[in-house]
Amino acid sequence: MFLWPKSLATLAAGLAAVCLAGPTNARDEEIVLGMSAAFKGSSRDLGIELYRGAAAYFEHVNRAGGVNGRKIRIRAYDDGYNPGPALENTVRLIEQDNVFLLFNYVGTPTVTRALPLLKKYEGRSAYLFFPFTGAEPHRQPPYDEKVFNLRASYRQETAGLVENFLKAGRKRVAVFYQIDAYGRGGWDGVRRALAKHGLKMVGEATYRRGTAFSESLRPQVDILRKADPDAVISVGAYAACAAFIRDARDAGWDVPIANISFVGSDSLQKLLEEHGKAKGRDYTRGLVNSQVVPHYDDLSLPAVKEYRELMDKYQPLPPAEFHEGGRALPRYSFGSLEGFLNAKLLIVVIKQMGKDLDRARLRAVTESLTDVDLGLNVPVSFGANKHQGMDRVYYTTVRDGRSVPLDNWGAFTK
Amino acid sequence: MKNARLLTKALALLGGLFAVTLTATALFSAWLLDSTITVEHESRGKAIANSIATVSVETLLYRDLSSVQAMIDQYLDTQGVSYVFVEDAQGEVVAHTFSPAVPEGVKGLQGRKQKTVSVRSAELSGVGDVADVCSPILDGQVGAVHVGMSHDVIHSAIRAAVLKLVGLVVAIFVVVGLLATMLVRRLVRPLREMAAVMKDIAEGEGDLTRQLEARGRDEVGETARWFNVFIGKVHDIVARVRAASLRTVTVSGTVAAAAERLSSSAQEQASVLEETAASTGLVNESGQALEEIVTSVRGVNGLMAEIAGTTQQQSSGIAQVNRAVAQMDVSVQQNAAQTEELTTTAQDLAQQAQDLQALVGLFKLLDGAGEAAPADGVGAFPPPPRRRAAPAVRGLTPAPPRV
Repeated sequence: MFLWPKSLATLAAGLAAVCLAGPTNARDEEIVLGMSAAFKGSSRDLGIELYRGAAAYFEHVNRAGGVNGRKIRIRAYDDGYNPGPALENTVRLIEQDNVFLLFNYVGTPTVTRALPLLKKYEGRSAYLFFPFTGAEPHRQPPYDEKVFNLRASYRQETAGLVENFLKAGRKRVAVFYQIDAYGRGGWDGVRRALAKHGLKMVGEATYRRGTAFSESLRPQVDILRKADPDAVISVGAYAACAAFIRDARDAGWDVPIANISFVGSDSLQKLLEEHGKAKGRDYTRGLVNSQVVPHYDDLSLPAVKEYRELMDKYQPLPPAEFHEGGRALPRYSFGSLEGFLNAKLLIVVIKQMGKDLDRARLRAVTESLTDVDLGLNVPVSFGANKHQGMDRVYYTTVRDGRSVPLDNWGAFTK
Repeated sequence: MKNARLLTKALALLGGLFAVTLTATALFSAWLLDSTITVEHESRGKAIANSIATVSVETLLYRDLSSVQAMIDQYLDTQGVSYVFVEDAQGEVVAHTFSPAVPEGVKGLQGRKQKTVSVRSAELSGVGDVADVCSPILDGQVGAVHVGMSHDVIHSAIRAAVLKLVGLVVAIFVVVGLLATMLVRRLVRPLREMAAVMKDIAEGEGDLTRQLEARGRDEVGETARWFNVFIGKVHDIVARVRAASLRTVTVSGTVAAAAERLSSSAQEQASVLEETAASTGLVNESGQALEEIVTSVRGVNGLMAEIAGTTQQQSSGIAQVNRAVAQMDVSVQQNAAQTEELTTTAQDLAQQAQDLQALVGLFKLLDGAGEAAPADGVGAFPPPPRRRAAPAVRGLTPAPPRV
């Protein structure tokens, strides 16, 4: 049981304000979405990219007059990819900022910890839309009813990776993972996928959340190498995963290493390229990445075209308080594309709500959405027991310093 | 430092006492802390393991491992918890907090088919010394929760506590040492002065006018006061001896003078007698000579009167006179010898008195003591301490000098 005396005080104040303001917000008020994500620290690219993609689409909607005359705004707080701050931010967003809904949260340990609050604030109809995590806790009872996902799950991603590696003749699979709820989810996904084929993972090594690229992950490399795997599935965030790849390659180990969507493949690739330039070698060989959105270079998809147009047009920045002028922002990324798609789907939901923006209707309205066309050639549907819009997993690899879709795993055949 | 031997001894004793105290206290508190903290530590581990075991039944059965992991992660922040891991009914570790990998030794901790919570000590590589607290989930039907309570945390806590204790005791030792140094210095100073005075009296000028500064109402002050009284007594005795010897010198001088006078008159008498003997034939002169003899010899002895009587009866004959004169000569000769002896004795006495003078002169006395007021000289010294002496000392207490 958690108690926040300060929050309780603001809750009382908030309730009073709600009562005075009347049952519904004024028509021309903004629709405020609450976002808690990593905007600082070693995983900040994840929060920033997700935010930027969403901001591009909301900017587009707002410039066109908003939804029913109401503009969309994101209230963003940094949690540094840590559960404690994520919890505090969530309370603040619900009680103090009285946000319409929670949106674009980043990370499994953070979301997992905040989930009970959705139950606690059931009376206020608190919902979390499209978190940037494929973990199971918010896809399973009792919290699944409070959360809507767009992306495929880590189980689906890891299962896809395992299946493809097995097909390529790589049966000895080891896992390198972040020792927390996220890493455990990925580890469990690999374990389940292997178990289907009567296999077990041959080795595992862990790292602590928040590990920086500058740190050595040589011990983990040595532990896994001893198990002599054919492939390593890496469940982590970009800084540590890049460091692991660097140390593996520096040790002369060229085993294929696969990362999953959450890693932030663009940030990972950037770190490895910068390091490779300094060292005069290529660290991006033998890499696979599973993605939950298509490649941003896939111009055959209308959504990708629109995304690129809007990104170029608005060149969205991170939230002002977390913006550092000197940092170059990527033109496109998987993160911002996911943020963009999340925003696009959310606008569909809000439009579906009509003029009555009663939060209590959010669940029913969203569950009623079927075959929504976001421009991905994959229809997005929800249902009473289906709170995940897409199941599709995409794969990419790095070729000649460029991230490209991986459709043929022939290069990884043993 | 030769003069600080008492201080060195006192400090060494103090240091030794402190060292013993410190060692005993440190060992005792380490033991006490170890037992209390270990018990507390293990019960904390049991509480955590039990709570995870209780909560994780449904999570393990109906939910995914991410939720289990999120749950056990929270306990890593608890002080002393070095790991948490969950094994399923098949004994496979399904969630843990180890990084970079699960230590080899963990296998030995698994598969305890027990229905109650148990504690086992283990040493895991990369983790250290731990007490592995194992709590079965649903009587072990679903699995078990293991919580590793670090012994290193206990040890470092004990180390820190004992270090603080040692620091405190050393600080106290420094303060007490400084105080003791000051105290011992204060005690030793009068003793040193006393020693110096005694040394001075023993080897130096024999200054009996020196007095110790009798500060304080403690044993040292008392000793100093009694020492002063003692020195006063010695002073008085020496003063009296000096006065007495002075008198002796005077008296012996007088005796010597008298003896001299006596000797010279006897010789005079003897020569007169010889003249008388030579001039027995000279009757003219004999009357006058005998007259002289009578004058000279009067008061010497009764024999003179007899001679006078005899000489007045000249008619008895010269032979008779001659006999008498010879007899008288013998007597005078004897008298002279006795006088000589007296003179020698007086001279001896004077010599001895002078020797005594010289001897007591070695001591320095108050001005005039022994010359002007031999009996009252003691009045110059302070009265003896009025304090009650300790019972043991009472018998030795000198009689206070008369004032």
